[in-house]
Parts: sequence; C-alpha cells; structure tokens
Amino acid sequence: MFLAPSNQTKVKYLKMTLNRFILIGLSMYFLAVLQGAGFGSGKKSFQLPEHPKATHPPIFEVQKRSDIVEKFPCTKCHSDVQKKKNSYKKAHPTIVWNHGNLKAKCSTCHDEKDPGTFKALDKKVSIDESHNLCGVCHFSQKRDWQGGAHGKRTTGWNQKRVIKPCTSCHNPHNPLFPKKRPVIKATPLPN
Amino acid sequence: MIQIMEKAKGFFKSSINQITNSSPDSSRRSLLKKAISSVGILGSGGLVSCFNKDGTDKTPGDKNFSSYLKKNFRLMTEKEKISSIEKLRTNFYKKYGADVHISSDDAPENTLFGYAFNISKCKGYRDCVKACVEENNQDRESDMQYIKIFEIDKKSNSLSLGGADSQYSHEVPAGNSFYMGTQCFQCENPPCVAVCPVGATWKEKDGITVIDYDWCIGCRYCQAACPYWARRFNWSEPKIEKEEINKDQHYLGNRLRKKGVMEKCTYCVQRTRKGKNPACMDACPTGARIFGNLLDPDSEISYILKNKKVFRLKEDLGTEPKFWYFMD
Repeated sequence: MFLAPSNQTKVKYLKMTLNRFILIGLSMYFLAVLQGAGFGSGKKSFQLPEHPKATHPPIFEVQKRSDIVEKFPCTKCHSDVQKKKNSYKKAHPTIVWNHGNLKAKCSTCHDEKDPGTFKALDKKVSIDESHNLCGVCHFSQKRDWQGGAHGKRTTGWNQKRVIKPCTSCHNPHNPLFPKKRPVIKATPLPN
Repeated sequence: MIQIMEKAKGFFKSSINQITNSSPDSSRRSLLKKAISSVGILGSGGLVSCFNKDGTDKTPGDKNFSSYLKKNFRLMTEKEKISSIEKLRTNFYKKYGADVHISSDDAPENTLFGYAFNISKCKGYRDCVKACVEENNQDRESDMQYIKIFEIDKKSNSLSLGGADSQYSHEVPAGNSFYMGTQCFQCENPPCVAVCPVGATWKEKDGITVIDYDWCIGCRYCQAACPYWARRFNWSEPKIEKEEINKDQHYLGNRLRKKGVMEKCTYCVQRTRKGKNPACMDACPTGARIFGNLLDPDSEISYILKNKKVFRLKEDLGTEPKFWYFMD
C-alpha cells in the first residue's frame, strides 16, 4: 500500500529544505570571511617562486677547429692549389663519400675558389663554424646542439659552456660512427 | 661521518663516539656492539622513537630531541672532520706509501643534479663503464661496475630490460638494436635510504644519495630495496693496483672501501662538487650523456626536459629518479 503525502506535509518539507539552504549558505559565507581575515586554516598556502626563464639564444662557445687541425689551411704548404684544376680528387684519395643517399660534388660544400673555406648555399662559412653548413639540412640537430641536447661538452657543468662543433665528432664525408668491440667486458648483475 | 653529522641520524652516531671513545677505524661490528650497549645506557625507548619519527626536521636546536639524549650527543666539529680525514690519509700512506687527497666538499648552493641519457645516440661502446671503474676505485678482482648498458632489439617494441642483453661482446652498434644505460638514478624518494637500519646512507642537499662507508654494516637491505639494481656489495677487500688508484677522492665518494660495505654511483661526487662533469659523461664519445643543474634554467638538462620527449624507468614506483631518457 502506497501513501501519498498530504499538502500539509509537502509544505513542511519545502520549508525544511529552504531553511537548510539558508543555513549552509550563511555558514559558507562566514567561513570565507574568517579565512580572508587569516583565521580558520592557520597555515598560509605555499606559493612557488616564479621560475626563472632561460636566456635565449643560449650562451656558449664553440671549440675552434682551426686550432686543432694541424694541416690547416692547405695553403700553408700548397701555394699553387688554385692553379691546378680538378686536381682535388687525386690529392685526396683516402676520402670515402658515404653520406646517406646524398649525391654531392666536392663543390657542394667546399669553396673551390678559396680552399679552406666552405659555402652553404653560396654563403661563405669558415672551418670554425661547421654548424652553419651542416645545419642547412640537419636543422633539428642544430637546434638541439645549440640548446644542449646534442653534441659534446668539453667543460664542467657549472663552467663556461664550450661545445665541440659537428665535424669534431662526425666525419662529414662518412658520418656514421664506426663499429667496434666494447672497450670493457661487462660484469653480470649481482644476484 | 663528515656530512652525516648534519643529519639527525648523525647525532646518534657521534653520541656513540663520545660515549665509547671509539675511533672511526674500529671495525664495524665492534662498533655495532658498542652501539647496542650504548643504546642500553641511554634508554632504548627514547632512541627507538627517534628513529621511527621522520628525522628530517631534527636540528641541533631541537629541544625535544636533545632532551632525549641528555646532551650525550653533539655535532662533529671542523677539527674532528679534519682529523678523521688525516687518519684516512695516514692509513693510505702506510699501505701504499703515497699521499692521497680526500675532500669533504659540501653540496653547492641552489643545485639539484640531474642526468639525461640519449638512447638514440648511445652506441654501446662502454667507454663510460671503463671511465667509471677507473675514476671510482672499484674492485678490479670482482670487476665491479656501476653502469650497465643494455642492448635492446628495436623489433621487440618494448623497453623491458628483462629480455635485454647486458653482456654483449660483439661489435657495436649491432644492426637493429639500441642501447640503454642504467646506473644509480639518485631518486628524490630513495627506497634504499628508507630501509637502512643504521642511517649509513642518505640524500644530500644536491640530490645525491651517498653512503658513509664507516657506518655501513653491510646488511644489504638497500641492495634489495633498490628497484634499479644500482647498489653493489664488497664481498671481499677491494683490490686495485697501486698505480691505478685515483688519488683525487671524496669522503662520501670514491675513497677506498673495505670488505663488507655497500657502494654505489654518486654521479662522481668528487668531480661534480668541483664543477666538473661525471667521468662517464666526459668519457662518452657520442655525447649521449648530459649532466647538469636542474634548478638552472640555462642548463642543458633543463633544455632537454623542456624540449625533448623524456621518460624515466619504472616511473610507477614513485621513486622520482633524477635520470631521464630521451630520443632525438
């Protein structure tokens, strides 16, 4: 048997719910006022200091290749290098060209008129800034190298940043790292 | 015993030192016996509760803490630090006839060390492993190594190290595989520290977890607790040729260990606290390893965390390792 509520009880319920809403609303208002005045939660909310922003572009120095390469520039010994045409291939028999599937001539990167310098899309590039030449194609690697995710750092973590240029690690004619046996035997993990 | 004295657990240790007048050279087990007896003197109830509570907020000025121990503890003075290092130097001279430099450099200000490892650059040459062994004076007889390089088949389509080969000796890089190095990840929430029953291992302010070899009792709880296989145990007295010993040492790092103590990678604390890079990073010929200060927004490690896709090993354990892997 189901009982339907009378009109009187309906009104009673309505009044009760209204009262409750008013009570909750008032108490919430007071709590907010108290918290604003510094009461209530005792502790102040922790705020992280603003994170310092990285300087852009990053400050670093590139190790100079011209100081490392002993026989640079070639004109140190070969004074007549510009006179002989098409003699480069004979002069460099050991160079193997294995750079991806790229079909390139010497003159794609080397400035034949000015041996010892390079050209990146007709722009002159010195031996010390090979990143400007390699970065024409390998732009994402150049970006990571500038930022710090690629390349070899030569100083310590809190010293002046000096990084090696591309051609210090990669042979530009045959850029794949060589295969070799590991330099030390691995010890099995302890049990 | 140098930096540990700044830690709450250190108070307990120096209290033992004072009560029993034991030298740092006395054997660990006799020290432990003395420790147990001195606990008896002090009243074990108080000490046990000291250990059970989180000791991080215990400072020398903490009145409650000092009232437990009735001024039977004190901090190690600068003089005592120096004398304990002098003792180590003398021992070294007696044994090897040469002088050794043991530093006790504290963690640098505003520094939290982090490491990143490029899994698309590592070729598995193990130059880092070799450099690490030479730098950190590890036992040559058992060929102890902190770093492991895992060879993972690209076709396996997973990063599970269970099926990976860490003992490879063939020419690398091998056809269709990539290489992933593991070492101590210097967790922000290190489980190895939590389980140490004597407080011989703790996390330094620069985020490096270190061991005091004079306090370690060799229970190997930490080795069991570490989810990254980072800790190593000296089953015998470590043996290194005299000429091969790295004499540039740190009290909490690569100073010579003894039989029956744990040791681990400290990101080369003797180098990094002088501003250098860890030996593994300097030795890497491919530039796959990057080390730096996480709090410095200009550091390379910050660049990597901001700009590259990074992941950590066993992230779900909540250990918060400070060692990230990334790809080109």
